[in-house]
Amino acid sequence: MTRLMRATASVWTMDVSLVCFGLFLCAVIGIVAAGTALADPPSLSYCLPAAAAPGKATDIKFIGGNLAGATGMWSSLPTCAHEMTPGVEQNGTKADQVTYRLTLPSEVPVGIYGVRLATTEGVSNVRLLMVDDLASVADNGANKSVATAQELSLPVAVDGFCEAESYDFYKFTAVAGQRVSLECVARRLGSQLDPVIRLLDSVGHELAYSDDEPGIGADCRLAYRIKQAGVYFVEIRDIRYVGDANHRYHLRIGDFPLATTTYPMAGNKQATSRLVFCGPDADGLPPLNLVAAASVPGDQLPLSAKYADGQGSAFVRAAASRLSEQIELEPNDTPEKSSPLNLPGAINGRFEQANDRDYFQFDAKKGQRLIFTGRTRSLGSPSDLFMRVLKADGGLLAEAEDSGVDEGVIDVSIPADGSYRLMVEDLLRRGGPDHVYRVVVEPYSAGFSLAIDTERFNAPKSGVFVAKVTCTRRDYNGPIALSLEGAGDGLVLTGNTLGEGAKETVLNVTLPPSVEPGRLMNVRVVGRAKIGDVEFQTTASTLGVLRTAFSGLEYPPADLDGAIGLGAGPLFPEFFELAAAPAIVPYAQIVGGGTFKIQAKRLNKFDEKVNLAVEGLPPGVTAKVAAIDKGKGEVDVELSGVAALAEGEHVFRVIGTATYQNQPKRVVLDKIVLRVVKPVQVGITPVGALVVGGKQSIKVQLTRYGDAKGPVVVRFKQLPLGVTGPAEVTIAEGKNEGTIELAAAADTLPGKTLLAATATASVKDRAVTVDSEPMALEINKP
Amino acid sequence: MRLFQFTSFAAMLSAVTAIAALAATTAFGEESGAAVLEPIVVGTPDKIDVQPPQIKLDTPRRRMHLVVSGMYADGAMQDLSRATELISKDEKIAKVEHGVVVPVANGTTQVAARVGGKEVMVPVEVIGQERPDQVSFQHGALVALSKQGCNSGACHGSPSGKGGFRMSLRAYDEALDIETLVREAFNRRTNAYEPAASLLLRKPTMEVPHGGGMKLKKSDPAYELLHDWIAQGCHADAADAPKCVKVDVFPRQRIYKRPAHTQQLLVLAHFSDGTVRDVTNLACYSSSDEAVATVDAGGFVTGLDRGESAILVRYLEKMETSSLMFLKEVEGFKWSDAPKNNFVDNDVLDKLRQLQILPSEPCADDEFVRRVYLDVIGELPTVAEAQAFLADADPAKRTKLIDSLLGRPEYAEFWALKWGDLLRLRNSKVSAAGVHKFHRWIEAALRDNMPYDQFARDLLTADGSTFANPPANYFRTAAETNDCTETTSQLFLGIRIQCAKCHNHPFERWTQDNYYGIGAFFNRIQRKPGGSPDELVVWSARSGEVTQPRTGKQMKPWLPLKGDADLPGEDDRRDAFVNWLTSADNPFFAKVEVNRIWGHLIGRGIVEPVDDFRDSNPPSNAVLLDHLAKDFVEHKFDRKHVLRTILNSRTYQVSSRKNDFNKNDVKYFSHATTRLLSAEQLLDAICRVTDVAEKYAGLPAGTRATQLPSPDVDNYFLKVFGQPARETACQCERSSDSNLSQALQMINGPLVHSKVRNEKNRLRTLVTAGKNDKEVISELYLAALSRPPSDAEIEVSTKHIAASGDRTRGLEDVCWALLNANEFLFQH
Repeated sequence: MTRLMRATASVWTMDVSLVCFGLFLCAVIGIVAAGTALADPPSLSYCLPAAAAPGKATDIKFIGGNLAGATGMWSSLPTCAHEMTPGVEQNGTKADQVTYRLTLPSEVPVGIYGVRLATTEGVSNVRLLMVDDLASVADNGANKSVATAQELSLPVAVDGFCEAESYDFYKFTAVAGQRVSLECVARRLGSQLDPVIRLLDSVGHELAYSDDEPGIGADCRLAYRIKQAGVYFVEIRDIRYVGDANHRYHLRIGDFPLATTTYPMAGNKQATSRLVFCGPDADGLPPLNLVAAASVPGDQLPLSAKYADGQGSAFVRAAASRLSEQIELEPNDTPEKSSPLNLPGAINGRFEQANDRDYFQFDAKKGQRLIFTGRTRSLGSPSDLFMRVLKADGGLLAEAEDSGVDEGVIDVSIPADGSYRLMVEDLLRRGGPDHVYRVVVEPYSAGFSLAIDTERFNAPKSGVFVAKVTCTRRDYNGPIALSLEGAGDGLVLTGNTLGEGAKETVLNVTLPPSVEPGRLMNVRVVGRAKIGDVEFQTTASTLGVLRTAFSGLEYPPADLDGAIGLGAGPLFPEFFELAAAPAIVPYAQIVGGGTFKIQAKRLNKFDEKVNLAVEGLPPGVTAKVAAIDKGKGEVDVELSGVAALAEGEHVFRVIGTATYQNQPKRVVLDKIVLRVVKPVQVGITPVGALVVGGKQSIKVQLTRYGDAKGPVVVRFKQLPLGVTGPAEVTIAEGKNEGTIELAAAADTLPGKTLLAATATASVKDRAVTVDSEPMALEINKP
Repeated sequence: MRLFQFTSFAAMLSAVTAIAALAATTAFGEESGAAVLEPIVVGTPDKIDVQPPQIKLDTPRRRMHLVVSGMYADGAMQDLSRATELISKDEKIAKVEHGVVVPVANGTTQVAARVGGKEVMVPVEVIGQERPDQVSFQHGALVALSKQGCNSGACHGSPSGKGGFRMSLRAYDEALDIETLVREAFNRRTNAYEPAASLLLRKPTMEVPHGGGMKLKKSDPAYELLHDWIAQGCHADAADAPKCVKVDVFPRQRIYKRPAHTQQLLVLAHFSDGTVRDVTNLACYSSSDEAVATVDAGGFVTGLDRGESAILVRYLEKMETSSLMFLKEVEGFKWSDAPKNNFVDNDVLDKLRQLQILPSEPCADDEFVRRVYLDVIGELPTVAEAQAFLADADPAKRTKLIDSLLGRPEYAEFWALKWGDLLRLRNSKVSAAGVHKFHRWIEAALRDNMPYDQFARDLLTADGSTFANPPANYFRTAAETNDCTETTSQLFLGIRIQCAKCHNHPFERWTQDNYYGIGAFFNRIQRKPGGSPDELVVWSARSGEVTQPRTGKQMKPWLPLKGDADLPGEDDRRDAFVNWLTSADNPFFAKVEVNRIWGHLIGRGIVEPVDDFRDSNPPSNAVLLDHLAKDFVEHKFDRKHVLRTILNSRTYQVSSRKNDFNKNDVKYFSHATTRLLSAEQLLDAICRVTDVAEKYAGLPAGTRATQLPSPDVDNYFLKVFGQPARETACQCERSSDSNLSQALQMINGPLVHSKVRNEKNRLRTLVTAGKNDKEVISELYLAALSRPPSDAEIEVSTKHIAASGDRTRGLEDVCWALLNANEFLFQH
């Protein structure tokens, strides 16, 4: 081994030991602080109570994880003042809960809204919170039988959860003739509960039962007129008897009407609309004269209604429209009696009774392409639309597909100028006061829709978040530019263009340093394209992820669609370091090559691949380098190229890049020394001291590069006086070690002396002579 | 003495081994034996009747059997054909050969039938003798092959045929058969130049080796038909050739009293051209109960034993039955009128008297209380309930108890279990949530006593979400048209029509066209995903027709015994089907349900199996079945009314103890039928006796086995005792067979062991409460058997306890023995 190599090795050894100790410390710290080294954004499970009251302040306890250090709250409520509730012990410091005081104006409609929180670690998922004009009480947890039923005073709402294989019971007292409504809001709040309720008399006989009810999905409700004064019981459970703390319910009991929708189903944003509430028990509710301001965001309006003398409200949603809203003119149940339909616009109709068919007549021109889009269940109607477009002679022109879960769409091209009819009926031929529908009829336009796979973005300070955006195109194949709206300036977006025909992209956004940890923003991903002369834009939908997050809720509140919470956490921690071994990299003349290793020190459980690049090598020298694979600690780098480099040193650099939890990192080793050496190096090492009058072996070690494989002749330059040995030794082809035995004559003077050797070889037909580093030889007395 | 009374502890123990002892016996087995053809005692008939009353023979090949019946002063009738002298008045026109009138030449004559001093003249017209008599392919060759069984399922009618020769099963596919017979095998099967050399004739006559053996003799009418058809060129029938539109059999029904015990049947086929042909020698025959009567290839029936038999007559796809009853004096039999509680008893006792079967005595109160609890609510009475009933002196207490039980929620829960089986409620069929929702709907329908026609209508016309409208799950389990056809037919018509999916039903009247015709009512049912995971939406499309796969013909909706239904337009065709199904005159609907209820309560259906109505499986008491069905319809399909009627009858309340005159009766309801408790009944009963509840995964504590919404709880004990997996809509899936595993479960299975040894079980609670042995034993008996123990039983038990050295262990033994006793294990 040459002196150089030895030195390097020892330095590396020393470094390694230090590094190892450091690594050990880091590992220990890393383990201890595993939850904090990387961002740990908050998560929300549910709210207690599950509803805030309009016109007053309500303290809402948010239950979840990583909630300590909450910095803010967001809700989809149009107006909502909020603050972290003062006076609550350790409020804001507990990981599992934090309490906020929400103060709502009295005019906030009863309904379901979205909320989310932020901490310095990021932003939470969105959860659903109700606004309810019924006071809330908590399930006491000891009400598992009729005998232990929890007593309630009506009207009231109970916030509780169902345990597995169990029931909850409540009891209340009612007078003869009293109308009692029961409504379980569970799945509509994103709960996993599939509730059933039973109303029982004082001896446990079932008076009424409700499971899935039209217009409210898996939730249930009923209204019952009390026949005899006395005590009544309510049983609530999951239909499958499953349960845990996430099987929550908000059980409303009172005098509220049971409305599911309105007729017509839309209020116009530019005019006053008169809406009638419809539902299984909504008779007697006064119509609503709705003035929906043009500035109302979104395309739905929360509405609530209660009886004149009532204490609790029903809640529904209506569409907020800018279209011409038209209403069917009964009778229109035959083609001859079709209601007129002006295009573009929306028609509102109702299947008055079973087997009711409604016809609408409209004029259209040859080549016109029209889209008929049904709306029923998303606005609370139980109907499922069956639609046809008919020619004037009654022949079928187009029919809505009825194989999926959509609400009915017809895409039709008009074959000739003339009159046509739209026929609408319930797929199941049902009818009734709440079987209302709305069909939007608009000219077809090319465009696209977008969907995104998350409803929150969390990035470290100055860090990156990514999301997958998918695209469904309608006769437009060109590029689509994505932007993030609501996050201010300074964002750096990559992957924000869907190229021609592309159906998906991974959007990659880097936050500017100005976004501090703890900040909460509400943003949207918007796609834009110029299609013909039209600037087309649309917001990426989050409905898919919301449905999943809300236990399969088919129609989450529409105003949450596309709303994405954006939060920033702390700086992302380091997660890898690099080192070269040896630190001074030899490069052999004549053969033109050398090798070294790049070693990675992985931190914070980082285990992914590290990509490497080598830059700054002398001209004519190249590096063959691969990535350090997932889970590996090092990789070899081979240098090759020009053979005629002069001996000397050059500096080059190695660049490593990796991504961990979407956060990129680049590490540069920028002062690696490349030392140009001869292709054969020789080193000598005595096995021990040479004793006067005795013998000792000197080990010879060769280092060969490239093709320097031939025999090497090694001889000492000058032996000390009295020390003898062979004139030279030859280390055979392919061998790297040899031994030379020295003998010290009896008169040899003891002491230390330096010994050096010269190696001579032929490499690529060129004689190469190289000297070893001098070696200290100790000569001792016997 | 009690039926199951233990006279020793050893007897109690030996009862354990009797679980599998309940073996089926044949009716009147002691009288069964080989056919005995006794001479006819003609006696002195008041008059004789000859069928057919006149004869027209319109081709040289026509023949006509004459069946002669004697009618007597006491109302009796018998077949005198084999004792009748038949004389042609003009043998140049027609002659008589072995009771068959044969044409000779065109003209008219008469045949005189003389017997018992009576004579009837039968006019005979012979025409068409100068014309060649072409043998029809379908009504000649194929009938002949069917008659000989060549195209039966076991021979060349199997899907893959036999020996490389495949025909359609019982000639349902004429096009296939002509191809097979004439074109295949290098024309060797039929040789028109040398008909006798045809393989079709040489093989069944064993002139060349035939794997099926000798199937045809040259003397058989079938040989002549086949030979002549081949000789005439092996032609298929012309498209406008006359078709057989129906067959008649004579007599359709008749009662014979020994010595009368034989009957020559006459089978006439009516054709679309108005001709009527005697096909007695070409039709195929089978007896529904060969222990009662046999029938030979020529339609000659021989009664063997007391009882009834339906003789099924099949001519191609046309079928009819002849219902015959055979009576015989039983030595020592003396009828005594038993009290009749309602029409059920009238009908049952009428039949018993006719067959000279003496009904058993009414059961004791303790037997009744246990029986009616198990039958109506599926569980044992509690000790207090049993004691209260036994102590009640009210003569109307049985009726009161029946009414009380029918009003209990357990009634709906127990019967929902039965319907859960039939409607195939289980997670894999309707999803976990769907099981609970559907089960709840069934239970509510039963609790509210939803009229059965409404129940069927709600199921069969259900649409919408399977979650919001649980009966829509009917079309989730029946996931496609064919399943709908088969399930609906079996559940609501009692027709097992599955065979007709691929070919005409080999044993019944149902054809492949019928199968797909019923399917046309359901073919428009569509299914699409609902809004929630696992939810399905069922709806009826506005169009969609069924194509018969064999013929490629678009099928019109078809109703059994009614024919094609003309249902144009976009309406949901299921409405029309259900309107027909639930109409008062539907011959199947009401009968199937009352029979199902009867079968549950009595242990055997009037038609057995209860969902297998067919001509060849006649009801054991047709009058009773008709009467029950009529009453059911008149009471607006009120199932509780049917239950109440049957439960209040003396017939239901008879003892299971037999007498000398009914010991071999298994189908006329002369005594109660003992049967092993169902899996769920048994497990609940064990829990009741031990007072240790069973816990089922995913269901609240306290849930009983009879409340289970589906078998997904995966309880081994229940499976061993026959809990069905609910894969089919057939009641037969619930096994009632006993087996060794059951015995092992009861003797040393972990479930019984753990409950008997449970620290908080009934016997330990009683011991802790300071009860003495007799008191504990008495309560165990009341809990298990609904009766107090006899003195002998107490003595046996107390001796055993004393001898065991450990009182608790001794009581455990008594409890264990009770659980293993027949009296506990069986409904009786």
